[in-house]
Amino acid sequence: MVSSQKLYKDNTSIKSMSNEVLENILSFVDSHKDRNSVSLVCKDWYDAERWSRSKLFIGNCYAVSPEIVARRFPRIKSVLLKGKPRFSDFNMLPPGWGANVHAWLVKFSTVYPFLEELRLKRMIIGDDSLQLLADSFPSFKALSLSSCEGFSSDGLKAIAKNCRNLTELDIQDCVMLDGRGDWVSGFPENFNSLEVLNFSRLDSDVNIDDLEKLVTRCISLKVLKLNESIPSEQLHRLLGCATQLTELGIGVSLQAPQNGLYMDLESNFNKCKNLQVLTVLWDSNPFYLPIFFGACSGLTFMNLTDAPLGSGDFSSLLSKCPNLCRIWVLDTVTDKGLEALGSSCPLLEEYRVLPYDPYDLDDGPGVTEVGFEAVSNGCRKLHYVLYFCRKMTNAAVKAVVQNCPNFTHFRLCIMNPCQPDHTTGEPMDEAFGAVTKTCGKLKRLSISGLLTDLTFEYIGRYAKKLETLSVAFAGRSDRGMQCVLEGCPKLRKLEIRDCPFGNGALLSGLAKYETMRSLWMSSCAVTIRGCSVLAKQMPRLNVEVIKDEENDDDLVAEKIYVYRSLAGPRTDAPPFVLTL
Amino acid sequence: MEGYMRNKEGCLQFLDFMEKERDSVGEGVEEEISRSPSLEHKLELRLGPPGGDWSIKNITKTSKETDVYSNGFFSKSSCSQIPSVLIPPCPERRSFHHESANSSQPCGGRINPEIQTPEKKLVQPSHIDVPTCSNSQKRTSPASLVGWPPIRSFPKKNGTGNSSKLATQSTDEALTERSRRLFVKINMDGVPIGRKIDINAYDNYEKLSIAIDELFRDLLPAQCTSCNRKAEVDRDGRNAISSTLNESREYALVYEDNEGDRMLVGDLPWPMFVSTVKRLRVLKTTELPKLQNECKLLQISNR
Repeated sequence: MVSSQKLYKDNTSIKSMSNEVLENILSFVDSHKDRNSVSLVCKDWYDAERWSRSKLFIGNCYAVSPEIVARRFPRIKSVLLKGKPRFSDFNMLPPGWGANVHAWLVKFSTVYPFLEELRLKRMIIGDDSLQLLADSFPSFKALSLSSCEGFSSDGLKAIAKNCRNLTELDIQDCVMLDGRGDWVSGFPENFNSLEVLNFSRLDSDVNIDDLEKLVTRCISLKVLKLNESIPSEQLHRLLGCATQLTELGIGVSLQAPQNGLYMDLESNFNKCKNLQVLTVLWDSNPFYLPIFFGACSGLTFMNLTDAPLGSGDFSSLLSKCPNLCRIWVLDTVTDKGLEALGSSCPLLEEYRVLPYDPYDLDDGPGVTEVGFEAVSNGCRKLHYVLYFCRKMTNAAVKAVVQNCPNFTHFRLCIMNPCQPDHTTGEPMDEAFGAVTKTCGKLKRLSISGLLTDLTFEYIGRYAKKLETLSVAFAGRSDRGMQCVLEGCPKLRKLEIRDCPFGNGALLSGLAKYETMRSLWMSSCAVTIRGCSVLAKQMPRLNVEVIKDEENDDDLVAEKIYVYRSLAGPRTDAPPFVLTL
Repeated sequence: MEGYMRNKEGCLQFLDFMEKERDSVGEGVEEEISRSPSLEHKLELRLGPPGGDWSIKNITKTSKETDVYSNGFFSKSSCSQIPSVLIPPCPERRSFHHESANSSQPCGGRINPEIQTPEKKLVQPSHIDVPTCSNSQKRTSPASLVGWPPIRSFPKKNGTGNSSKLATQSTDEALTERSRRLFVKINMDGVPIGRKIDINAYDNYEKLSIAIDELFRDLLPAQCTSCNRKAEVDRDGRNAISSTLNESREYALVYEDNEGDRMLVGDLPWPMFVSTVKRLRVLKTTELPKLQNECKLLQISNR
């Protein structure tokens, strides 16, 4: 009794050490995962944490409401919000599904007047929202929109005009409502704080005069990524700041070889001595390729997903980039190009090979298991791969993970559904067995090819750190999905399409779904009845069925999206989304 | 559409059948599959036992339903086109022999108990029919499946990529603005990477042919000399492609129209050509006779 009282006294003295000190210490804790853990220690720590959190991460905008967030965290300066499920990138979600940021901004404008950063992924943001943003936050500094849509040039203009302290405008993979580029002229004459300007894939006809003026006066500019609307002959006007750039993205579309133009461009790129990241949208005569060579020595990341190069050109480019850690490339480079990658870039940690022509089967050989193995032979530090191919073998995959056991992200996409090992005709089960057994740190896995339930057994048994799993055209029975749901303790996101998993599989994960961010299943064997059962048993999950207009079978649940939520069922669901 | 519905009914029939048949399946299978309460028993759907002891008799009985059922798992748009991989690599492997049972496992044979299941039970379902649709397909383009391959595509400036359905209402102005550019792909024999060319930038065949000449001319010498990056202008190369409409030259320009037919360029009035052309190809004239046998051939005339 006495001892426990003494303990109590000691506890209170620690308590009285004061929340201020604790908050101070916590201000060094950045990761939201760590902060979430901190908040679970005790009530005082929960309070200290919520008062000191300045960065908000919301992985699913429907998992929580703006009101709940505002109540808990009073001092937010930076927000990252993610909206639609990832399969929306591939046109699997009908338009008008949701994830509009407006309600969030309305709330933020009242509770977070000092907001500085907004980062959105897969959300809808209209011009009215951008205007609201521009009007409500005088300290606003950074806007990053990734895979968003709903806005036009007017919205961007509002940002340009009103955000006097803007340092970052980063628009990636977004679709604009119009193709106008007059937003650039929205930046006032005395505005010069921009450090990051990225609009490299934006379909926007930017006026080069305005852009030149902007780029010239923003002397702290470090990141400049332009789209293809800039004529290549005029690029030099924007490269005056080349020496200070760490990241550059440009489009080069030149056909006829002209030595004068060549030397002009070459001298500009030679100035890029501090360049770490280069993105090239390339549609030119190979004659011009060497213009970049002078900029490559310090490059750590090269993005060539819009640059169809053959193996020869690719090899010569690579020979200039010894420090490359990450590269994204098209399969036009073929296995030969990948062999060159393996031999030229020993520091490589990540590479992605995307298909130049995913739908057209008679164009080019693409890449195969030969290239896959070749890269792993030379690049032993690999931990991230995304590989699109038309054929693969179990043996090659096994060899790859033997060479590189440290994969954290392994995404293999064999583009013909249900394609077996092309040398043995066997399913690709053993390939993924090898991946899961050998790569103990595996966090993200995408599987493809002809796959039976065995693959899922392997995943459930070995992939203990797996957080994200993407499955298509795989499996034989409910057992497959069940193995994964029962076997992977860290699973957060599961996305499945065209697999024979039905209600049995769905319901085998009842309790599991509350520990996950979301589950997506489309074109599987799940019925509305099964979804209703799930919804009834797990009230804290939102179970949504997305009906395609073409198919009004009442029994089939063609697309389902299941996610945990504190906010209850959506209030903004369109008519084709049934919440059960 | 109807076919798909039929499949679904077939699915449901099969599911009922499965539930009735459940009792006839061995104990081991039940234990293995359902370690969960009776609710899940009722709702559980299975295609086939993962290594259960289905006899051949059972399988042949259900093979009709399984065909239908197995078709039902592809997305609607591909329902009638089973990917080519359902065709076993070699005809000889069609029958599922014991040793080579692993070698040809088309998706259509889903009912086939997998050799690699834990129990390692082997069954020889030699009566399994590969779904009939697969025979008629050489190779199904992934384009028939929605959202596959999982590549993001944008309505890019140069017109490639499928326009995202998610790009909602553009203003009318913007639409006309963009339709002014009409990019078509153009491939040339011997050049692995295709290019794109804006048809609307030209008024007639002559200008088009000059442009194509420019596009590929400098690639030709580059292709010939393997590592010569700074390709010099080759006069001969220039002549090879220009006036491609003239049959006596080394190359001919053909195009693919909106119906998929291949034709020599030059016969239609220019505006009509522009409205029907989908793709262009520069062929060696030696390849032309083959083309004549396969496709419509129109008289060409010098313009």
